[in-house]
Amino acid sequence: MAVAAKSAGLMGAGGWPRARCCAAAKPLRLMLMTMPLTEMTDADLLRAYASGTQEAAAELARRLLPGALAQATRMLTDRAAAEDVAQDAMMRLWRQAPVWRAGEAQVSTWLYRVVSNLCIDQLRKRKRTTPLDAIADPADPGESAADQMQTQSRMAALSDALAQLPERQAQAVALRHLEGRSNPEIAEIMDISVRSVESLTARGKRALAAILAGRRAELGYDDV
Amino acid sequence: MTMSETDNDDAMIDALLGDVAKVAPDVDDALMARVLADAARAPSLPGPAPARGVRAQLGELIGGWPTLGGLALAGCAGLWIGVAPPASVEDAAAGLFGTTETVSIWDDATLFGEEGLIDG
Repeated sequence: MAVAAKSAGLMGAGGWPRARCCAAAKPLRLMLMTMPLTEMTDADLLRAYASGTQEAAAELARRLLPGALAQATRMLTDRAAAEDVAQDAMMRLWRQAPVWRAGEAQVSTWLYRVVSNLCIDQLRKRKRTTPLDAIADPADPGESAADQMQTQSRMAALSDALAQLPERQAQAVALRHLEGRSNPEIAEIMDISVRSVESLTARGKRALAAILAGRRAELGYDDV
Repeated sequence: MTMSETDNDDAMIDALLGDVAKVAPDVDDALMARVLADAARAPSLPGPAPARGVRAQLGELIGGWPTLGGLALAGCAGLWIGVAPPASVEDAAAGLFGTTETVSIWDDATLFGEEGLIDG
Protein backbone atom coordinates (compact mmCIF):
# COMPACT_ATOMS: atom_id res chain seq x y z
CA MET A 1 0.00 0.00 0.00
CA ALA A 2 1.53 3.22 -1.04
CA VAL A 3 0.39 5.74 1.51
CA ALA A 4 -0.95 8.64 -0.46
CA ALA A 5 -0.84 11.21 2.30
CA LYS A 6 1.29 13.55 0.25
CA SER A 7 -1.05 13.54 -2.68
CA ALA A 8 -4.00 13.98 -0.34
CA GLY A 9 -2.54 17.29 0.79
CA LEU A 10 -1.89 16.17 4.33
CA MET A 11 1.88 16.44 4.25
CA GLY A 12 3.88 19.56 4.86
CA ALA A 13 7.47 20.34 3.84
CA GLY A 14 9.86 17.52 4.58
CA GLY A 15 7.19 14.85 4.38
CA TRP A 16 5.52 15.44 7.76
CA PRO A 17 1.90 16.29 8.38
CA ARG A 18 0.89 19.87 8.76
CA ALA A 19 -0.08 20.89 12.25
CA ARG A 20 -3.77 20.47 12.91
CA CYS A 21 -5.42 23.05 15.04
CA CYS A 22 -9.12 22.56 14.48
CA ALA A 23 -9.78 20.59 17.64
CA ALA A 24 -9.95 22.51 20.87
CA ALA A 25 -9.52 20.79 24.22
CA LYS A 26 -12.85 18.97 24.28
CA PRO A 27 -13.65 16.02 26.50
CA LEU A 28 -12.34 12.96 24.71
CA ARG A 29 -15.59 11.00 24.70
CA LEU A 30 -17.53 13.93 23.26
CA MET A 31 -14.84 14.49 20.67
CA LEU A 32 -14.88 10.86 19.57
CA MET A 33 -18.65 11.02 19.15
CA THR A 34 -18.77 14.29 17.23
CA MET A 35 -15.53 14.55 15.25
CA PRO A 36 -14.06 12.28 12.55
CA LEU A 37 -10.62 10.90 13.45
CA THR A 38 -9.18 12.55 10.36
CA GLU A 39 -9.93 15.98 11.84
CA MET A 40 -8.49 15.36 15.29
CA THR A 41 -5.05 16.61 16.32
CA ASP A 42 -2.21 14.15 16.71
CA ALA A 43 -2.28 14.66 20.47
CA ASP A 44 -6.02 13.96 20.65
CA LEU A 45 -5.58 10.83 18.55
CA LEU A 46 -2.88 9.70 20.95
CA ARG A 47 -5.28 10.25 23.87
CA ALA A 48 -7.98 8.32 22.05
CA TYR A 49 -5.58 5.46 21.37
CA ALA A 50 -4.52 5.43 25.02
CA SER A 51 -8.16 5.13 26.02
CA GLY A 52 -8.57 2.05 23.82
CA THR A 53 -9.60 3.38 20.38
CA GLN A 54 -7.48 1.33 17.99
CA GLU A 55 -8.70 3.26 14.94
CA ALA A 56 -6.88 6.29 16.35
CA ALA A 57 -3.60 4.36 16.10
CA ALA A 58 -4.32 3.59 12.44
CA GLU A 59 -4.95 7.28 11.71
CA LEU A 60 -1.78 8.30 13.58
CA ALA A 61 0.27 5.73 11.68
CA ARG A 62 -1.18 6.94 8.38
CA ARG A 63 -0.12 10.49 9.25
CA LEU A 64 3.22 9.94 10.92
CA LEU A 65 4.76 6.74 9.57
CA PRO A 66 5.57 8.09 6.07
CA GLY A 67 7.52 10.99 7.59
CA ALA A 68 9.34 8.77 10.05
CA LEU A 69 10.31 6.36 7.28
CA ALA A 70 11.42 9.18 4.99
CA GLN A 71 13.53 10.79 7.70
CA ALA A 72 15.21 7.49 8.53
CA THR A 73 15.78 6.60 4.86
CA ARG A 74 17.41 9.94 4.10
CA MET A 75 19.81 9.53 6.99
CA LEU A 76 20.53 5.81 6.71
CA THR A 77 19.93 5.01 2.99
CA ASP A 78 19.46 1.34 3.89
CA ARG A 79 15.74 0.63 3.48
CA ALA A 80 15.59 -2.27 5.95
CA ALA A 81 17.38 -0.29 8.64
CA ALA A 82 15.13 2.72 7.99
CA GLU A 83 12.01 0.55 8.33
CA ASP A 84 13.30 -0.85 11.62
CA VAL A 85 13.92 2.68 12.92
CA ALA A 86 10.48 3.88 11.82
CA GLN A 87 8.77 0.89 13.43
CA ASP A 88 10.80 1.29 16.62
CA ALA A 89 9.93 5.00 16.79
CA MET A 90 6.21 4.28 16.37
CA MET A 91 6.41 1.57 19.04
CA ARG A 92 7.86 4.13 21.42
CA LEU A 93 4.98 6.44 20.56
CA TRP A 94 2.44 3.74 21.43
CA ARG A 95 4.18 3.16 24.75
CA GLN A 96 4.27 6.87 25.41
CA ALA A 97 0.53 7.33 24.77
CA PRO A 98 -0.79 6.66 28.30
CA VAL A 99 1.62 9.17 29.83
CA TRP A 100 1.56 11.74 27.03
CA ARG A 101 1.14 15.22 28.45
CA ALA A 102 -0.72 17.52 26.11
CA GLY A 103 0.88 20.90 25.52
CA GLU A 104 4.44 19.88 26.30
CA ALA A 105 5.45 19.10 22.74
CA GLN A 106 3.87 18.34 19.40
CA VAL A 107 3.69 14.67 18.61
CA SER A 108 5.52 15.24 15.32
CA THR A 109 8.31 17.14 17.09
CA TRP A 110 8.67 14.31 19.59
CA LEU A 111 8.81 11.77 16.77
CA TYR A 112 11.44 13.77 14.84
CA ARG A 113 13.59 13.62 17.97
CA VAL A 114 13.11 9.89 18.45
CA VAL A 115 13.79 9.02 14.79
CA SER A 116 16.80 11.32 14.73
CA ASN A 117 18.28 9.75 17.87
CA LEU A 118 17.67 6.21 16.59
CA CYS A 119 19.33 7.08 13.28
CA ILE A 120 22.32 8.57 15.07
CA ASP A 121 22.64 5.31 17.01
CA GLN A 122 22.64 3.39 13.72
CA LEU A 123 25.23 5.73 12.19
CA ARG A 124 27.41 5.34 15.28
CA LYS A 125 27.32 1.55 14.92
CA ARG A 126 28.11 1.86 11.22
CA LYS A 127 31.12 4.06 11.97
CA ARG A 128 32.50 1.29 14.17
CA THR A 129 32.02 -1.35 11.48
CA THR A 130 32.14 -0.80 7.73
CA PRO A 131 30.89 1.98 5.48
CA LEU A 132 27.64 1.46 3.64
CA ASP A 133 28.36 -0.12 0.26
CA ALA A 134 25.11 -1.92 -0.39
CA ILE A 135 22.70 -0.15 -2.64
CA ALA A 136 19.25 0.04 -1.12
CA ASP A 137 16.00 -0.48 -2.95
CA PRO A 138 15.26 1.99 -5.72
CA ALA A 139 13.96 5.23 -4.27
CA ASP A 140 11.61 6.14 -7.07
CA PRO A 141 10.28 3.57 -9.53
CA GLY A 142 9.79 6.36 -12.04
CA GLU A 143 13.53 7.01 -12.34
CA SER A 144 15.67 5.26 -14.94
CA ALA A 145 18.03 2.55 -13.70
CA ALA A 146 21.02 4.87 -14.13
CA ASP A 147 19.31 7.67 -12.23
CA GLN A 148 18.34 5.28 -9.45
CA MET A 149 21.94 4.13 -9.17
CA GLN A 150 23.09 7.73 -9.05
CA THR A 151 20.53 8.63 -6.37
CA GLN A 152 21.46 5.62 -4.26
CA SER A 153 25.14 6.35 -4.67
CA ARG A 154 24.60 9.92 -3.49
CA MET A 155 22.47 8.81 -0.57
CA ALA A 156 25.07 6.26 0.52
CA ALA A 157 27.88 8.83 0.23
CA LEU A 158 25.95 11.36 2.30
CA SER A 159 24.95 8.77 4.90
CA ASP A 160 28.55 7.59 5.29
CA ALA A 161 29.71 11.18 5.57
CA LEU A 162 27.07 11.94 8.23
CA ALA A 163 28.33 8.91 10.16
CA GLN A 164 31.75 10.54 10.32
CA LEU A 165 30.46 13.81 11.77
CA PRO A 166 30.08 14.50 15.47
CA GLU A 167 26.60 13.28 16.36
CA ARG A 168 25.06 16.67 17.14
CA GLN A 169 26.35 18.13 13.88
CA ALA A 170 24.95 15.20 11.89
CA GLN A 171 21.61 15.54 13.64
CA ALA A 172 21.38 19.30 13.05
CA VAL A 173 22.43 19.08 9.39
CA ALA A 174 19.93 16.29 8.69
CA LEU A 175 17.05 18.10 10.37
CA ARG A 176 17.87 21.41 8.67
CA HIS A 177 18.80 20.31 5.18
CA LEU A 178 17.14 16.90 4.71
CA GLU A 179 13.95 17.46 6.70
CA GLY A 180 13.62 21.18 6.03
CA ARG A 181 12.95 22.09 9.65
CA SER A 182 13.46 25.67 10.78
CA ASN A 183 16.19 26.54 13.26
CA PRO A 184 13.71 27.18 16.12
CA GLU A 185 12.07 23.81 15.43
CA ILE A 186 15.45 22.08 15.46
CA ALA A 187 16.30 23.87 18.69
CA GLU A 188 13.15 22.39 20.24
CA ILE A 189 13.76 18.93 18.80
CA MET A 190 17.38 18.86 20.01
CA ASP A 191 16.69 20.82 23.19
CA ILE A 192 19.39 23.40 22.47
CA SER A 193 19.45 27.12 21.63
CA VAL A 194 18.84 28.48 18.14
CA ARG A 195 22.36 29.89 18.16
CA SER A 196 23.73 26.40 18.82
CA VAL A 197 21.69 25.06 15.92
CA GLU A 198 23.17 27.66 13.60
CA SER A 199 26.66 26.81 14.74
CA LEU A 200 26.15 23.05 14.46
CA THR A 201 24.66 23.20 10.97
CA ALA A 202 27.38 25.54 9.68
CA ARG A 203 30.19 23.39 11.08
CA GLY A 204 28.44 20.23 9.93
CA LYS A 205 28.14 21.43 6.36
CA ARG A 206 31.79 22.50 6.28
CA ALA A 207 32.81 19.07 7.59
CA LEU A 208 30.64 17.31 4.98
CA ALA A 209 32.24 19.39 2.23
CA ALA A 210 35.70 18.39 3.48
CA ILE A 211 34.78 14.69 3.67
CA LEU A 212 33.21 14.58 0.20
CA ALA A 213 35.56 17.02 -1.52
CA GLY A 214 37.23 14.39 -3.71
CA ARG A 215 34.05 12.67 -4.83
CA ARG A 216 32.51 15.33 -7.04
CA ALA A 217 32.85 13.41 -10.31
CA GLU A 218 31.88 10.09 -8.75
CA LEU A 219 28.66 11.60 -7.42
CA GLY A 220 27.86 13.32 -10.72
CA TYR A 221 28.33 16.91 -9.57
CA ASP A 222 30.99 17.91 -12.11
CA ASP A 223 28.87 20.73 -13.39
CA VAL A 224 28.01 22.18 -9.97
CA MET B 1 42.35 24.76 -1.34
CA THR B 2 41.40 27.94 -3.15
CA MET B 3 38.35 30.03 -2.41
CA SER B 4 36.80 28.82 -5.69
CA GLU B 5 37.25 25.17 -4.73
CA THR B 6 35.67 25.84 -1.34
CA ASP B 7 32.71 27.53 -3.02
CA ASN B 8 32.37 24.59 -5.40
CA ASP B 9 32.42 22.11 -2.52
CA ASP B 10 29.77 24.12 -0.70
CA ALA B 11 27.64 24.14 -3.84
CA MET B 12 28.10 20.39 -4.24
CA ILE B 13 27.01 19.78 -0.64
CA ASP B 14 23.96 22.00 -1.15
CA ALA B 15 23.07 20.05 -4.30
CA LEU B 16 23.67 16.70 -2.60
CA LEU B 17 21.54 17.59 0.43
CA GLY B 18 18.82 18.93 -1.86
CA ASP B 19 18.78 15.74 -3.93
CA VAL B 20 18.65 13.42 -0.91
CA ALA B 21 15.94 15.58 0.69
CA LYS B 22 13.68 14.76 -2.27
CA VAL B 23 13.76 11.04 -1.47
CA ALA B 24 10.31 10.04 -0.18
CA PRO B 25 9.86 6.28 0.11
CA ASP B 26 6.40 4.75 0.17
CA VAL B 27 5.20 2.90 3.25
CA ASP B 28 4.39 -0.61 2.09
CA ASP B 29 1.64 -2.82 3.47
CA ALA B 30 4.00 -5.03 5.47
CA LEU B 31 5.52 -2.14 7.42
CA MET B 32 2.12 -0.58 8.12
CA ALA B 33 0.83 -3.96 9.30
CA ARG B 34 3.79 -4.39 11.66
CA VAL B 35 3.29 -0.93 13.12
CA LEU B 36 -0.44 -1.49 13.66
CA ALA B 37 0.24 -4.90 15.21
CA ASP B 38 2.61 -3.18 17.63
CA ALA B 39 -0.12 -0.67 18.45
CA ALA B 40 -2.61 -3.47 19.10
CA ARG B 41 -0.36 -5.19 21.62
CA ALA B 42 1.39 -2.23 23.22
CA PRO B 43 1.68 -3.35 26.85
CA SER B 44 0.59 -0.11 28.45
CA LEU B 45 -2.74 0.14 26.65
CA PRO B 46 -5.61 -0.17 29.13
CA GLY B 47 -8.57 -2.40 28.38
CA PRO B 48 -12.14 -1.14 28.68
CA ALA B 49 -13.00 -0.43 32.31
CA PRO B 50 -15.48 -2.99 33.70
CA ALA B 51 -18.72 -1.74 35.24
CA ARG B 52 -18.31 -1.58 39.03
CA GLY B 53 -21.00 -1.47 41.70
CA VAL B 54 -21.27 0.84 44.68
CA ARG B 55 -20.05 -1.90 47.04
CA ALA B 56 -16.92 -2.51 44.98
CA GLN B 57 -16.18 1.21 44.81
CA LEU B 58 -16.69 1.57 48.58
CA GLY B 59 -14.40 -1.39 49.25
CA GLU B 60 -11.75 0.12 46.98
CA LEU B 61 -12.13 3.48 48.75
CA ILE B 62 -11.43 1.85 52.12
CA GLY B 63 -8.49 -0.08 50.79
CA GLY B 64 -9.80 -3.36 49.44
CA TRP B 65 -9.93 -6.83 50.96
CA PRO B 66 -6.69 -6.58 53.00
CA THR B 67 -8.00 -3.55 54.87
CA LEU B 68 -11.45 -5.07 55.36
CA GLY B 69 -9.86 -8.27 56.70
CA GLY B 70 -7.71 -6.31 59.12
CA LEU B 71 -10.73 -4.34 60.28
CA ALA B 72 -12.69 -7.54 60.93
CA LEU B 73 -9.80 -9.10 62.84
CA ALA B 74 -9.31 -5.98 64.97
CA GLY B 75 -13.06 -5.88 65.68
CA CYS B 76 -13.09 -9.52 66.83
CA ALA B 77 -10.02 -9.00 69.02
CA GLY B 78 -11.57 -5.90 70.59
CA LEU B 79 -14.81 -7.73 71.28
CA TRP B 80 -12.94 -10.67 72.81
CA ILE B 81 -10.83 -8.44 75.04
CA GLY B 82 -13.94 -6.56 76.08
CA VAL B 83 -15.92 -9.68 76.95
CA ALA B 84 -13.06 -11.64 78.56
CA PRO B 85 -10.17 -9.33 79.35
CA PRO B 86 -6.94 -11.22 80.13
CA ALA B 87 -5.45 -10.67 83.59
CA SER B 88 -2.55 -8.68 82.16
CA VAL B 89 -4.98 -6.18 80.62
CA GLU B 90 -6.80 -5.74 83.92
CA ASP B 91 -3.46 -5.35 85.75
CA ALA B 92 -2.35 -2.71 83.31
CA ALA B 93 -5.66 -0.88 83.60
CA ALA B 94 -5.39 -1.01 87.37
CA GLY B 95 -1.88 0.43 87.19
CA LEU B 96 -3.05 3.28 84.99
CA PHE B 97 -6.42 4.15 86.46
CA GLY B 98 -6.28 2.74 90.00
CA THR B 99 -8.77 0.08 91.03
CA THR B 100 -10.98 -1.42 88.35
CA GLU B 101 -14.18 -3.25 88.62
CA THR B 102 -15.43 -5.79 86.10
CA VAL B 103 -19.16 -5.97 85.65
CA SER B 104 -20.57 -8.88 83.70
CA ILE B 105 -23.68 -7.93 81.76
CA TRP B 106 -24.53 -11.54 81.02
CA ASP B 107 -24.61 -14.56 83.14
CA ASP B 108 -21.49 -16.56 82.29
CA ALA B 109 -23.25 -19.87 82.56
CA THR B 110 -25.92 -18.68 80.12
CA LEU B 111 -23.38 -17.56 77.55
CA PHE B 112 -20.67 -20.16 77.77
CA GLY B 113 -22.16 -23.15 79.53
CA GLU B 114 -21.72 -24.45 83.02
CA GLU B 115 -17.93 -24.27 83.09
CA GLY B 116 -17.81 -20.75 81.79
CA LEU B 117 -14.98 -19.40 79.68
CA ILE B 118 -14.37 -16.22 81.59
CA ASP B 119 -11.61 -16.54 84.10
CA GLY B 120 -11.11 -12.83 84.78
